[in-house]
Amino acid sequence: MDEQQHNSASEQAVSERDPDLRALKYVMLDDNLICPICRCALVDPCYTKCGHTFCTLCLFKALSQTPKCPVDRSSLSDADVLPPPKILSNMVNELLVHCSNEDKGCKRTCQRSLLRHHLLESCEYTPVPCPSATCDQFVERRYIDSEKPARCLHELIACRACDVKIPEIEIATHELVCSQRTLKCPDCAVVFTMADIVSHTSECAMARVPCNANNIGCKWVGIRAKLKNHESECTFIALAPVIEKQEDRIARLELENKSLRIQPSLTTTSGMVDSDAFHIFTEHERFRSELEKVSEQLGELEIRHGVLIMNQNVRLKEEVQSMRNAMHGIRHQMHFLLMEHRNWALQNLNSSMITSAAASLSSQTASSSNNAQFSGETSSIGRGTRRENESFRQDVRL
Amino acid sequence: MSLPKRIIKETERLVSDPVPGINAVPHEENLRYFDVTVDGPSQSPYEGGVFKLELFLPEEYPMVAPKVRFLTKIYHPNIDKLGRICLDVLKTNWSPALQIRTILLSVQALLGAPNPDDPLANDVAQRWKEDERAAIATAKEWTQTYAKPEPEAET
Ligand SMILES: [Zn+2]
Ligand SMILES: [Zn+2]
Ligand SMILES: [Zn+2]
Ligand SMILES: [Zn+2]
Ligand SMILES: [Zn+2]
Ligand SMILES: [Zn+2]
Ligand SMILES: [Zn+2]
Repeated sequence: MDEQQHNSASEQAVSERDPDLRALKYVMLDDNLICPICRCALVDPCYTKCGHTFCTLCLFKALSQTPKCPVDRSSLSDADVLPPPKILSNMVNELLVHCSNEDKGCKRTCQRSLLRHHLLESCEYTPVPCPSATCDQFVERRYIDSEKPARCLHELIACRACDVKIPEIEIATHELVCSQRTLKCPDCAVVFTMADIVSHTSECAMARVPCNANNIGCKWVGIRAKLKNHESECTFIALAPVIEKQEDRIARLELENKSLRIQPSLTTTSGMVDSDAFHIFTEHERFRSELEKVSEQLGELEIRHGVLIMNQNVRLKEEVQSMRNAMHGIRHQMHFLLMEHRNWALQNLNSSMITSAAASLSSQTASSSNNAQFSGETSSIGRGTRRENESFRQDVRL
Repeated sequence: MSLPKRIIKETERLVSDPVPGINAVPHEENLRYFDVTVDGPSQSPYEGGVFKLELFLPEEYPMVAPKVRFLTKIYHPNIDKLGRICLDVLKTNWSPALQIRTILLSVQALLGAPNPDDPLANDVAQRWKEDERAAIATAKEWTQTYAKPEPEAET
């Protein structure tokens, strides 16, 4: 167990010296800086004669399998791989990354090229050798106090609550989560273990709670043990359903009131209450309030729609960019295939012309059958091209 | 052996942004092994069918292509009895810039465009060339029998 811990600590120490740049969390990452092979931010980028960018390691691995550009499949030898433009190296080296000890608690972000230095020299969470000369284990840098005399931080100490023996540097974290650790309830002063305290606080009889009707005006606050007693005689609780109904009614009446308020102006001008007119006015008012509701909903819908469109727009823009890149690849591919095809066709034409010239004396049917065969083969090439295009079109959709 | 970042990213994207008509879920105990279903493309003899496939990412992926095989029985000139697929991007035309989603899209496209001139299942391809209408009818029949969506799926 100890042996294992020790091993993982020294393995970790190795990873500080040579952090895995592909496993890092980037603060922000431009799609153009992603390697098409490992799909991570470019590491030690290179540049091909066909204009594509890869991690040097990724590309050479791919070329050792097939000597073609992984993106456009134009043929590529090791000599066609060039060092990247300076600006590209700078861009990837200056990408902001989160410290790889983030999960242990380091909040630091820095340029990628400076991460190694941070891990080796200053990260508080990097394991470093235990200060004791006789101990060969590691501790996180933050535990080391250069003011104090060097001593081992791995001596086992028993947890005061559960009695399990734990290395000194881990005891503080353990005590925070130890399920046997005890806490006194601030309300009833009874002592509970960590495991039980949560359920207790939601039912502690001595905790102070408000009356359930506090939203409609009850000012009562008391210990939970007396809550039932209070609620049995609380007028607010008894009134709650009635008040709710009343509120509903008030809202309805207010609306009606509004429509009625227009009524007097009608009576003053005409001198009498026309029941038809009254009817029209209430209808009108009803429509108006409904219209208000609808336009409110419409506004909400519009906002939601706007956000939707914006989201889609961003995506589409990204897609267009990747399509553009893919199109570029296809153009190369097409060009290559066309050239191939033309060369091949020319060759065939030449040879068939020679054959037909030689055979022209014997018969004409021979040359025509030759031509038929030729056109058959071209169409099969055409099909091949089409299929290749198909597979590239699939790429484009991604 | 930890899983390469690329596989993790591809899996995340397959889940968060799935390809319509294609579903790929990794096994919990082996994240390089995927259970895949592909819907038969519309206007093809496979329309209405849901086809199960298995996809495995070899140790050398993405330097070598994923291994993909149909588990559902299918009548197709480029897919043999064992479910093996004749598709250039899975073999000679593989490129490490391709991805799981690209490959599955190509497989779906192959269902939409059978190619009897580049066959794997020779007898099927033969029949496809001799009597395309009958072959398509058989393909439809098999789709109905073996690729019904939901419960009685074929393994
Ligand atoms: Zn790469
Ligand atoms: Zn290229
Ligand atoms: Zn740090
Ligand atoms: Zn120590
Ligand atoms: Zn404890
Ligand atoms: Zn209590
Ligand atoms: Zn009350």
